[in-house]
Amino acid sequence: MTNMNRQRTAYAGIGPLKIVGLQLLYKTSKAFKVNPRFTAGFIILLVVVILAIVAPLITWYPPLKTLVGKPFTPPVALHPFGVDDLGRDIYTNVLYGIRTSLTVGVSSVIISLAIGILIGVVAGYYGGILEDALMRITDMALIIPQFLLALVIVAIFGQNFQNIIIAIGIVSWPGIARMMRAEFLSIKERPFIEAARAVGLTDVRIIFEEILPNAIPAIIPYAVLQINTAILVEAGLGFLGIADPNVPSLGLMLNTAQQYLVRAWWMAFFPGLVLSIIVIGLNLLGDGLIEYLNPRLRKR
Amino acid sequence: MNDSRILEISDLKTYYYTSRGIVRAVDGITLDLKKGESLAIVGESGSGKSTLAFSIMRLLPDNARIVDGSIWLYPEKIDLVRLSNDEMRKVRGRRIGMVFQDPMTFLNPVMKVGDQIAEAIMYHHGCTQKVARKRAVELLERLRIPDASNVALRYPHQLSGGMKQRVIIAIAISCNPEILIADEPTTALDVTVQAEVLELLRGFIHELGMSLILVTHDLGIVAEICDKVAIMYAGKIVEIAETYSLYKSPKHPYTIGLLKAVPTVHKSSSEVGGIKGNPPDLVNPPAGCRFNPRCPYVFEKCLGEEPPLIRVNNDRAVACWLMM
Repeated sequence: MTNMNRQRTAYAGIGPLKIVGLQLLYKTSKAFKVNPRFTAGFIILLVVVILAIVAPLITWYPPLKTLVGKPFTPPVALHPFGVDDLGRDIYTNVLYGIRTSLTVGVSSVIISLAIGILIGVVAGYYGGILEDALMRITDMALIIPQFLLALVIVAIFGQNFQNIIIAIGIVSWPGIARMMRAEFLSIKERPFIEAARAVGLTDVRIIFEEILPNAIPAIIPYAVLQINTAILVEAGLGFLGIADPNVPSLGLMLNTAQQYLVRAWWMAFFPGLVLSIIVIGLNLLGDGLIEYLNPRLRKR
Repeated sequence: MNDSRILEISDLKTYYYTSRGIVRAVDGITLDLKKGESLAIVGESGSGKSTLAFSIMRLLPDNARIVDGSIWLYPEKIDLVRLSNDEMRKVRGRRIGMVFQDPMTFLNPVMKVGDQIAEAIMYHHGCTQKVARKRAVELLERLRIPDASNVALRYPHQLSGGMKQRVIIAIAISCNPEILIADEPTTALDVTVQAEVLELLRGFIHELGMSLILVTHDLGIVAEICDKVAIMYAGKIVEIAETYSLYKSPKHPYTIGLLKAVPTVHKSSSEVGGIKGNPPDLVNPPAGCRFNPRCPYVFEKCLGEEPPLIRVNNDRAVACWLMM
């Protein structure tokens, strides 16, 4: 009896975690142990996100405010990352720039997930002519260079923050659509889908309650890497001068910095360094996730 | 007696369209099922028994089609073959439930088992999730699962095969269907669990007054829970009879062969016989009686003409020229 009770408690240890739907977190904690890349990426990103959140608390100038210091002041205590050509504090703007990067990355990926999942699901589940049509459209979207298309969209609809997010979201859905379709094609043939039909569930329920939860894990690492791409595209647009001037942007800062590269290295160095750290962190996290979720790639 | 009828299949033909040609998996099947009756459909692999079961549910793969015949569901006498997809969806689960063969793959791996049961209840009865979950736990309790409220919160991979099969049964009976179709419900389980699951199934059928169609190749199971047996061979019913009399005095040579092939403790190993040869290719079945290449009693008539299913007495019909 005692033995049985002990067993039950042992179950309960895993049980509640799953019950509250924290399965992913549970898996994550296991990933830490086996996957140093994942751990490194996770820690880097955690720090970056915290910095972005507490930016107003750890900076002492309003973002984008000009002439808070003498233009081209090198890094000093009051201006840890130096001052730029218009007298703006680079430290402040870099921290707020992280916010911009993360916002653009996450929101545009949400947009591309919405479009990509919708198209992939319809194509994968219903098949037939609909699938052919949707997948040819996806192929066409895939061969247009993302960066150029985003550039054109922003150029046409205007350089503001929302447009940049929407443009990046719109150009990055094809990969997600193709992945989603592939997942649906294989999952919809699995026996439990037939069981769901035998119970009389509608297509909509089968798609959202039976197939999608099984397809999502394959998308997660891809979405993380997609955030990365989105951040780079945003920075790239900023570097070309296509950015919302009212929002601090790491890319835009690099754009300004290039004219003064010799005279004021700090103007390029700090935004570039932070951007690299974000991108490296996301890359490690995404690769780690792929490796973790695909046991065949796991090193023993 | 016509009033107690619940399902009537008449001249049902389901064909698969493959690159090799048309496979006549179900080729003119006529059957009756009464309320509360349990009917076994027995045959070897490829005899079309599962196709028949899936035809009733209209859950056939894309390359299969019901080409002819009707499946009447009483008392309204609606023809399932001619129902629209939407109407058919309302029949599935609510009026005809299905228990599947392999408990390992027929449950959604990322959904708690309690929710999988509740999902069907919610959909068909339109009740709230809370009520549906409560009913799901009750069902599991009635299926004698210990600690049911806790089990309902588990995922399929945390349960044993027998438990999973009970969850599948719970899903099938969750909406009190009038007919339950079980497609080899115990094949994937080990023997002791098989007995338990069968016992539960039998109990439920009696308690709820359900009719059962059991698809199997295991004659032992049939003897335990079925009133009537239909023996299928190459897409046709060759013999249909009450279980007891079929076991006692099989009439069709194929049935005789099948029963001989069942090992029992009383038979020595030399007495357990098989049926020589292989089931015919359904793309190109033999002319005449389809069993003729393997039949020990074959004569000229068998080669030329196909025997019809003839009622020989009150509770038995046989398709064999020897009986004419």
